[in-house]
Amino acid sequence: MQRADSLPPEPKLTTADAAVISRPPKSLWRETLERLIRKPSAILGLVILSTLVLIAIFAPLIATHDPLAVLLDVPEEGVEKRMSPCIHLFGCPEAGDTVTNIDVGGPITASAVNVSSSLMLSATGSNVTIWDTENARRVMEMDHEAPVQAAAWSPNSQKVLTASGAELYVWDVNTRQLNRTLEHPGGADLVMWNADGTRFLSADQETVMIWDTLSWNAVGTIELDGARIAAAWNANGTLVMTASGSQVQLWNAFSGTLINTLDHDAPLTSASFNPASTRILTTSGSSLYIWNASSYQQELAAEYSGPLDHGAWLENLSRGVRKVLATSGSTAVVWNAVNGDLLLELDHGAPVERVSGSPLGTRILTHGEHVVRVWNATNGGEVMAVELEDPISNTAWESSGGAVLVASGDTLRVIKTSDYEYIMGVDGNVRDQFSRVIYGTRLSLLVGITTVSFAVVFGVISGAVAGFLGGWVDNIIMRIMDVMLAFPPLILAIAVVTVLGPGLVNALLAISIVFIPAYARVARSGVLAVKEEDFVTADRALGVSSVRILFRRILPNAMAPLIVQATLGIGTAILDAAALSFLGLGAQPPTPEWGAMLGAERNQIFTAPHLVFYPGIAIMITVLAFNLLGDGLRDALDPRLDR
Amino acid sequence: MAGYLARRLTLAVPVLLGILFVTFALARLLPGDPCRSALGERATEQICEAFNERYGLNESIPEQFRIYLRDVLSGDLGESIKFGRPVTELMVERLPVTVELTFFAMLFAVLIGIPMGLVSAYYHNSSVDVLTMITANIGVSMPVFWLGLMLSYLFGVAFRDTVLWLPPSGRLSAGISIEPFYAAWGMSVNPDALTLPGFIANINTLNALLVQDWNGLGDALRHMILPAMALGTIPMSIIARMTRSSLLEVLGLNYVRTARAKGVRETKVVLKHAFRNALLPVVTIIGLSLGSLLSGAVLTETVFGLSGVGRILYDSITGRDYTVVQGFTLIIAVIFVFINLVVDTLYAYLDPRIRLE
Repeated sequence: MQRADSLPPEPKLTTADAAVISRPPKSLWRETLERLIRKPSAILGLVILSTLVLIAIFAPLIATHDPLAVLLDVPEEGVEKRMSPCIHLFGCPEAGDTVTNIDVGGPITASAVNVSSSLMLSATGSNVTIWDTENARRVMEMDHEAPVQAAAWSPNSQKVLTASGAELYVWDVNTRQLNRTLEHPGGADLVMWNADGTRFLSADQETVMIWDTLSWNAVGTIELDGARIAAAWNANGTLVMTASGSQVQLWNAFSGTLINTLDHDAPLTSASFNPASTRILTTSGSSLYIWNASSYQQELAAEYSGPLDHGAWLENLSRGVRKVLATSGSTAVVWNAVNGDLLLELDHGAPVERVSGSPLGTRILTHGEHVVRVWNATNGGEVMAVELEDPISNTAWESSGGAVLVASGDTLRVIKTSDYEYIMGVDGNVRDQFSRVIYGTRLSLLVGITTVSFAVVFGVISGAVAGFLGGWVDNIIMRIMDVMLAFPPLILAIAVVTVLGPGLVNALLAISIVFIPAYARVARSGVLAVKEEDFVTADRALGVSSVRILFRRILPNAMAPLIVQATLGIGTAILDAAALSFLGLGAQPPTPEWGAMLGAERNQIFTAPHLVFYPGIAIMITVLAFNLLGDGLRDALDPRLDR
Repeated sequence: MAGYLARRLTLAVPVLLGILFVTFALARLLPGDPCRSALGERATEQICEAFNERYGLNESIPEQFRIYLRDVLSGDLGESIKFGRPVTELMVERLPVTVELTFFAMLFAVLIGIPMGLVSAYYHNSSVDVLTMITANIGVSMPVFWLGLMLSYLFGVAFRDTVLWLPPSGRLSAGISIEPFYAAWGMSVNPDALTLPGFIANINTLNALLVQDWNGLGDALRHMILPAMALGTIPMSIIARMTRSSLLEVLGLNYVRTARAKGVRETKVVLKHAFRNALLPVVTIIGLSLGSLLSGAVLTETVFGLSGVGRILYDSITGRDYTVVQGFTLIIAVIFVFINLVVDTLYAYLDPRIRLE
């Protein structure tokens, strides 16, 4: 403090106002500023802070999405879901990267992934192994006497059904024991569970057997006219569909009796239920048909220029996606399933062995002998292409659609298909986290500045009055402040906010109240230091009113430590407001407040740390900026400390 | 000295009275009916009548305050509405958890913070100094709960299956229990009453040390590392900064220059001459940080699933458990006032230039 400068030179005693000279000279502030901008840390703080202010102002332009909008209708897929433990700053696998690579040790003859994609199984010769998808660890081994032709997961992933020789094996995954063996004469090459895991079917080329898992008896046996082309359960397990020759037949799953036959002109190449089993897609010759699965009427027929091989559904009703796929040689063709319009023709470059739609209906997977491709189902753009040396035997979508599982040669791979539409991922309520973090800047700056302004105004008034008047007023005010300071600040704030009711405004009020004593103390000591200065005495002698002396003469001279305290206090206020929101007492969902975002996702810390990481980093950067600036200001205002 | 202490203690009396009043008022101001929030669906008119009678909620507010004052002065903090147990009993259970957490957090802060500050001042303006101060600046800017969550992810998940793995929550692993030392020593202690042995036995590490259960001690310590790091980072940074600036100030003093002029080795100048005198403000800041640690304890305990004071306070404030709110805020405030008193006295004791008047 440069008190020598502020001494009045020679007061002209004609009017009381002449003593205005006692104000601090303007040069003090300029000097402070000059000193401030010589400190690199303070400059850094200022730069960060102005960037944050700009971000706050232009948040709508920077944010890629509405921070409150639920992204249900987003056309992209493979976004970083909450279950993905990947922090982008540290580098995440990009589309086409192999995230898991399992060497099975022999050519894979059959493979399957469970419903949640957490476990994969591979069949090599007479051995079947279950692998953990995430860390490529061996979970369970199942040895058979003969080579394994087929394997399937039960819907709840508790059981695995394998077909080896003429036997069916039922394995229990929990106990890792063989549960029982059943006989399928002729040897099954397809096994399949129904949706609730109470039944399954096994099929060889001519026969389909239906099994019950309560009695473990075959409840029905279906003899087909020709070689089997397809066999499938409907979603609720009441029907079994088979395709052979040019006929699709629907069977009662409880008795094995024929219900209906759907006749085609040419031999069938594929038949499949849609996910809800309300429709059946068939391909035959160069035509594609959609049948209603309850009225057995043909709903749609589409012609293509070439013969069609594999048909597949691309349907997600909650997103309004209703498309069908089929392959013709090396081309995958996409039709609108409602009106039969041809939408896309995707050139795979080699004969396509399989085509499938992603779980959310936004991506298409095609694989030939050596290449796996993923396509955007909306515009037909190629999202990813991976070439593998060994011939590909099987592909499947990971349940979230963010990756594909590929079996080729001896190796099982999980290949990422996601792109970076969402820089910081998507939170548990399917909202764009990046936009929420950006909008959060507004709230945090607002929180810091309003709480501290409130606390400073009330603190300075009470502290200054206490210091100026002294005596019993001082005693009472400062004892009240002492009592408030006797409580840990956050606990007092929690109590106050509970009394007022949770909410952002009340949280701000609580934090302001808790901060008042700190400013009152600083203001009081400042006033006490300046009170006895000569220029104050001069004012008194001149008859200047007490209020005027306090606010125009004393306070401006006691301001420096207050400014420092306030700047540093903003950081603390932001931290405390975030803490209250974290505990559920501050900003309420869906407000994009950093603390609240952190609190909402804190149980996901082990599965999706990025949802906790980014809001926390944002808080840290903001607080750091205020702290750096505060430190710089302190050093600038008190050159003694500068070093 | 004695006169100063007496004066400070008399000054503390109105503060303590104020604290009593504030805790009482806060508890009464909490919105909502304690009977309904405690009993929920079962709260009928009659049951609530009996409930209010039992907890003395029927009396007028001044009368309630009078009874409260009388009870507190006789060491009775009442019975928890939610748990149906005396508050003192809950304190024996919860206070040791927080005391242990705070101790280890402070230990971490001091053991890392002071060397950081020392090195920073010794290599003043070097890259080491800059790096240390950046760390310290980041340290004070981190939200405690965020740091806790990130640490538990890092050590609990990312380092899973490595030697660095640390348990991300709880106080002891499943299947590990440490025998209370009073039982091992054949003392007969009522584990529920507010007694010193009961209190000490609930400080797991101390208890394990007393009964020499090294396995249990190791487990308790491993569970303490992450919470202590999370809670201790802010005080660590503050201590590092304070040590540095205080040491730099002392290094600029004449007697240090004299020592250097005499040809004393620089290491000795810093460690022997300057460091002792520079420690003074550091001691103050350690004391002050102890108080703020209690704030952080609420968050740390929430993140790491420790049932300490912070946790019970949060639960009882939001659950309208009047007696627990009153009892625990009172004890915390008293501890707070006491710590401040000790720090002031210690400060004056360490620096003979300050006269205690």
